[in-house]
Amino acid sequence: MLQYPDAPAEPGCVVLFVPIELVPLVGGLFKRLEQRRRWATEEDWQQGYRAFVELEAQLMSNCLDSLIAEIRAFRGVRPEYESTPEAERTIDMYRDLGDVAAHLNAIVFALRGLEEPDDSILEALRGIVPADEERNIIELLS
Amino acid sequence: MALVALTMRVRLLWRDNDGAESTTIVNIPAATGFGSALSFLASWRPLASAISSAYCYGADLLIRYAENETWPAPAGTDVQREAVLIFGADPTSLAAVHVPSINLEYVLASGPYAGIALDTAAPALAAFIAALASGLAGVAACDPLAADLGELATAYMQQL
Repeated sequence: MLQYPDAPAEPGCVVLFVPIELVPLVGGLFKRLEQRRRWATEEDWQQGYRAFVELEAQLMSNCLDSLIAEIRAFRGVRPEYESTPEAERTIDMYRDLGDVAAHLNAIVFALRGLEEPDDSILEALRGIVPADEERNIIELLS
Repeated sequence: MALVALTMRVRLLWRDNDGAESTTIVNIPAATGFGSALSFLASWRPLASAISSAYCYGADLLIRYAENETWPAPAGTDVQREAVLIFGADPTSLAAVHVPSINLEYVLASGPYAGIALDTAAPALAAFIAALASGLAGVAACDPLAADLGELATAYMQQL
């Protein structure tokens, strides 16, 4: 019988690519672990039940497509490809993330009343601004 | 065709020190009142525990009904082909309800999950879902951990 494992101090996860035609079979395997008799104790089962029903649901979340769609929405399509149907667009038809960051940087510093950006908002967000220039991000945006 | 009452079953669940499990079942008349059946269960369990060295970790009371006629299941039925309907349960967790041999007319034929996802807008399936999510005959369905079933999160076909 199974014992629900302790979570590590730093929680992690793995991304598993399940071919869509295997979703019914993989879901069927996960379903077996909903059963009380598979688990050593009531507590193990309660945790296991919740965890494996969540995995059964995730099989239908099409998460990678959603993630790509969100990233592409953030980048924005290049003007010359706006008429291209979304399903036919390729990665190079979207703005580069660096361009998006440069625009964001310019907007933030324009809002601060400065003519020339003197800091990188992304560097500040990443925490890699040199210590003597580091500022609170709220201050940077104010 | 009609459902007829069968004897109730009182079942005790046992486990030994190797983790192996077994059961004891006794039947009581179908007409036994629910309260009396529970009293029988509560009284019988210590009597059985007194003569067994295994651990009696649970008990069931099964109120049973069966069709008074039998007929062959239609061609194409397969209880290993299940619908799984996953509901949000209070407060934030999920709970699964399975239906064996989901009728293939409720499986979507197009879209990214063609042949897998269920057509939850189909009237029969929508009625089934609404009954579990909103309650039926004044009773709210819950998951095995006693959390109320909420809105449907997803529904698809599993093959066991």
